[in-house]
Amino acid sequence: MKRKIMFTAAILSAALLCSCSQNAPDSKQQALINEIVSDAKSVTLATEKPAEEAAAAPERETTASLKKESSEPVADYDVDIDLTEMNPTMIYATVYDIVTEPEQYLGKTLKVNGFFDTGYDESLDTRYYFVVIPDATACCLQGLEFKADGRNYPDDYPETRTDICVRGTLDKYNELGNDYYYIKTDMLVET
Amino acid sequence: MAEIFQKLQLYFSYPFVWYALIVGLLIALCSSLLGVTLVLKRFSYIGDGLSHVAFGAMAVAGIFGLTNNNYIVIPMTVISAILLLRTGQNAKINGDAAIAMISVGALAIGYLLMNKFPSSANISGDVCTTLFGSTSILTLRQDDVILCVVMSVIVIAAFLLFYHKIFAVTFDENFVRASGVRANVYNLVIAIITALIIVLAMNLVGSLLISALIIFPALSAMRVFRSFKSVIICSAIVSVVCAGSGIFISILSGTPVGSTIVAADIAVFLIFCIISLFIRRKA
Repeated sequence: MKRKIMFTAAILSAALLCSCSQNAPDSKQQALINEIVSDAKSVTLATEKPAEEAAAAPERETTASLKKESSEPVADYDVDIDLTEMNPTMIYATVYDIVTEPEQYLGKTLKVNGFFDTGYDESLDTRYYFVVIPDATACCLQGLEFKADGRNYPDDYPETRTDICVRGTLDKYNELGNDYYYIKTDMLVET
Repeated sequence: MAEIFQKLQLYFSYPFVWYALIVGLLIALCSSLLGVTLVLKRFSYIGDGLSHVAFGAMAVAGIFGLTNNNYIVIPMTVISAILLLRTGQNAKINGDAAIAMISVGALAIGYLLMNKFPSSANISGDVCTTLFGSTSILTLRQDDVILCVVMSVIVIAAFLLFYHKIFAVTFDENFVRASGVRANVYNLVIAIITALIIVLAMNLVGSLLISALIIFPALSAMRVFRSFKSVIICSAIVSVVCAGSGIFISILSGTPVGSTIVAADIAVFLIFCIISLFIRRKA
């Protein structure tokens, strides 16, 4: 029997050695998202603020652009993927699918609720903007990059950790030889 | 009601929801088949022990950065299952002590490695997903589904092929040995199948809830039925129905998939307990 066990172990070891290793491509955006996710864990999520805390907090001034946006009605239309109408489990699963299979969602319109965060890459002198979406258990956060044309940071953007709603079309761009996917927004509002 | 159907129609337009349903039902079927044998052999807790080994193996796989964790998780879990089920009876440390030792040891080492060599920035997210399954069943890719289908076919085929021998080994191992059948070989088959099911089930309910998937359908069926065959058939039906309804409820109401399935299993177990009370009274 020992021989059989040894034989089984040898076969399994061979299968193990045959497995191939592949590292994920180096992504500056992914590093920024990871950084945001790490930071987010150390703060109370905006959606989870205790009622007393929320009541005690002074009313924050809305940025100029957001005020402007709320006064000028944004054209409403049916989006292809409305994450604001889904439950947390489906939101997490859908965002995961968008992140892992972005080509399938390219050109589709989507609407997302989450909190705003931003990161700056000094080497590229570029700022990236994200809508970060926590899952039902608030342990797994996912970020989608978005770009809003005609806005300047920080004046035309909300404060980080502010709950926002982003609507737009999934598009892609190339940076340093890699394709990156983002939401080309036509609506960015605080919620 | 119409709203629910509309929601289901929308959700099932996503391939990953179909993947979840297919994999969920297959895992439930496989785990229920073996559950009866494990419960009768008094190895109910082995699922828990092996799932912790799988958790540790997953942490090791994270260090190597493999594209598919199963290349490490499956061999390590199979080897542990063989050691626990096959050699456990003759070893100096046997039975529940061996399971407990491997279980907590693997869990501790796994968490240690995950913290020391994190594969992503969100360690708590990784741990949460691995332990409780969180939403991992809804994040399966096509390759995972194919792997699951292949492994499920192997498990079901092995079970059907060795059904009579597994039946004999389950009830009286000494008699099987005395009648010239190599009981060790069939114990080895049970060990390998158990390990494969554990690895598959980690995607569905997470490593902390796997035991429920193995035990509850078998125990529910045993409340009402008496023969080995009828218990296995009932156990399979209960398991598949609970997994299916658990997945439906969780995608509709937003509850975690794993714990919803286990809650459905518990509810059915209670119903079967009540039915068995009525049957006994009538008898």
